[in-house]
Amino acid sequence: MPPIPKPDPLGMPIPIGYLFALKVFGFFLHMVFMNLWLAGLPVAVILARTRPHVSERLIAAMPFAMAFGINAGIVPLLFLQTLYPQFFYPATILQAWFWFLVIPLLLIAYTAVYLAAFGRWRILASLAAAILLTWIGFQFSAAMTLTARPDHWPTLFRSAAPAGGVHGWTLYLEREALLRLGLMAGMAFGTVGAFLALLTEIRQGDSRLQEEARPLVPILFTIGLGIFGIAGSLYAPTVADRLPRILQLLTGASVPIAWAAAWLYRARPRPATAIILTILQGGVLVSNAIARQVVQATELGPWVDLGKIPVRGEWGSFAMFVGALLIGIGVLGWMLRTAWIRVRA
Amino acid sequence: MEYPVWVVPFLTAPMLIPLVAIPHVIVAQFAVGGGFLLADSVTWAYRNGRSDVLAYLRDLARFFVLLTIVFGALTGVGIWWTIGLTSPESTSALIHVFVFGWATEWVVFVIEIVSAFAFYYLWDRLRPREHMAMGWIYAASAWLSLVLITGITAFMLTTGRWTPEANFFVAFFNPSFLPQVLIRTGGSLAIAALWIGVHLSFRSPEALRDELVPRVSRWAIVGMLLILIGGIGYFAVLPDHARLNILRAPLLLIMTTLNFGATLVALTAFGLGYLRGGRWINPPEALLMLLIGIVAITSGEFLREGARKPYRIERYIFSPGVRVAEAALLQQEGLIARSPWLQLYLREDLGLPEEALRDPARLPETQKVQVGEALYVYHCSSCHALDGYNGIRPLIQPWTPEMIADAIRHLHRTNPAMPPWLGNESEREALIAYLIALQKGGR
Ligand code: HEC
Repeated sequence: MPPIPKPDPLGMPIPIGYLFALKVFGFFLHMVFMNLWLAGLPVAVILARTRPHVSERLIAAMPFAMAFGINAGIVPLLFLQTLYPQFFYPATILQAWFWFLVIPLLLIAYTAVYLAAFGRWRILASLAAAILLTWIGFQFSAAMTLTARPDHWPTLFRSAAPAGGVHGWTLYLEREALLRLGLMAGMAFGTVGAFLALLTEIRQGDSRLQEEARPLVPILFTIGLGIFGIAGSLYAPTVADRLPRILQLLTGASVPIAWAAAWLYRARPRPATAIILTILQGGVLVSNAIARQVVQATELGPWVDLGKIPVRGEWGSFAMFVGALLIGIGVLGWMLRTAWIRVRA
Repeated sequence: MEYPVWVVPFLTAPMLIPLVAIPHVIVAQFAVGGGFLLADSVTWAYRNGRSDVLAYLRDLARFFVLLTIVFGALTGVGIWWTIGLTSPESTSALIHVFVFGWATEWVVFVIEIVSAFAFYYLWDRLRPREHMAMGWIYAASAWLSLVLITGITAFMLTTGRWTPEANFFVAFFNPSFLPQVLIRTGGSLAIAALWIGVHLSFRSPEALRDELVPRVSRWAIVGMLLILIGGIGYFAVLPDHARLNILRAPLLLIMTTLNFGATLVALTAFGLGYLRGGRWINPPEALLMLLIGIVAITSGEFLREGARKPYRIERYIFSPGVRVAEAALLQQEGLIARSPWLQLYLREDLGLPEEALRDPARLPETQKVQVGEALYVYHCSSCHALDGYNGIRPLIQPWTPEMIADAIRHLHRTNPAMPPWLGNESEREALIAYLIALQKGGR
């Protein structure tokens, strides 16, 4: 039996179904923006010479992607720590320094992204940010993978236990963590492709962007499909028993479907096809977010029965959150609408 | 106790928290006060048709917006990161009580980011009324963020009427909530005004300074009054153990003095700024004042962290991650029995038999000392490094073995900042054996 702490005695705030839904929703949001930097930065660096306009657009978008991506990342982490604290904390404490370093590295990457967006050392700064953010992505993948693998904890712990404590310099360099990052990177190329398609069709007068971006979109999707395919074919057999057929099918098929839509967009580049492409790519991310949640819950199933944990019934503060969310959506709607009108004018 | 312990040499793991938290609090207060002063100044500038002031404010806004969104957000998340690594039990407890407070804060934060971006990037595209509205939305959401987070940090210091059965609102509206909101709101206005002073001293023509400094100082004085009122309330609601800590610990006393001193100096400076206009401001003076403001915030945060001992969450969780309600059980069954990671280490790495886990004092000396060392890691290392911060080696250096044994038998009486002994008698003997070996230089 791995040394798993007991569930928090305070119990679940509200029934776990809500918590899972919020976690998956947050992770989906996080993926949208995180994909933009994960694939967008390398693409911007590589295409700086050959497609300068696309590169410039991507670099300009990065500060926004970072702001919203980090912000949205809070949500799944919050609900992960509500649902599975006894798995998440040991997994990160075992790799403590690496996990802690995420923050300073992120700070450097963020600064680099701003430097690039303000036109200073554009390529160098973007490259630095790309490398750092890929590393951070791997670090997340390692933390989340280890969270669901308590059976791997003792070995890691014993390699790093001065007097029974943890020195925090071990890294969970497992194949599975790399493959999961690979899956994400594959999807990320598609998300960047969809973003470029949408941007190009919104900025209708921008003929240089059209020339550069339209042929690029299906190429990005093809690269993404390739990466996803390789990582997926290596990863799938290991989770086949942890993921229901229908979800396997959905996650597996959503990527080639979006890929096909990218070629449709290439053939008829206009707002309608760009929107279809974006929706289908959204489907890729949603099905993946759900599948990842199911895998996690199945992997942790043998170690904890969440259904047995008492529910506190935090309905008052839940209502406060829902109220804030509704008001927030209203305010957000007004701000975005105003911004949209003034930018177009 | 049920989690593995991250050992950070010289510093102790929990001391990483102020390393991240203090810059964060400074920046977050900058953002809140800056948001308010910007919104106020922009409104004033539009009403009076002052395009020169608007041009100046745009330059100022860039700094505030970038700082909040980049540094403020990241260090805020960073605190959470660090507490999860250094005190998982307490973090889990806070999350289970406040999860929807945090979720609400997230919503507010989204609005803060979007309004900040719109306020800065659409500076001359928005209509004046829209622009002012964006500024005020930014200011309001930044302040709401402050309020929501303060409820949580205040709870750690004063849990008030809260019990594990009570709900979010009982925990949130705890005794030190209101005083701390007042202090932090006031601190925000003051620190932002000090920054604007620095900015003005470098950038703007003197005429602008004469107009803006009194305006900003007026708000800063309001802020200082809030700090004063909040400060009185704060000390009034402080639990006895916290007050005792402040009086007993030299470092905390120094911090208190610094805090009061810096606050007074800042108040005087604002008074002068208001009465005499901006001409007196030059870069070195303005920078010095900003530094004093930062000292005030830093010492205040340090006080709040230091005063909490021996609790992580007042009357609910002791610093080494033990719930107060479980202390008696640990004293009966032993710390090892409640710590699966410690068991793993003792069984697998030291190869100890099961009886030894219950009764380590009967082991041969070398092994007993080894168990004692592990107990030190789990029970003491959250507050004591070996050497360095609150270093245990220098603390016990001049002592006799009897004094060490006596101090550990009455841990809480030795120093009220320490929790009671949280293990069984046999474990205590093992720890004493380790400390004696440590002092003799055997470890
Ligand atoms: C909640 C934090 C905390 C924990 C846990 C803690 N201590 Fe302390 N300890 C303190 C503080 C604060 C002091 C005062 C240091 C000073 O006066 O400089 C102190 C002082 C001491 C002293 C010196 C007492 C004196 O009168 O000079 C010893 C010895 C000591 N601790 C040993 C231990 C041992 C052994 C453990 C583990 C069983 C432990 N402490 C756990 C906070 C803690």
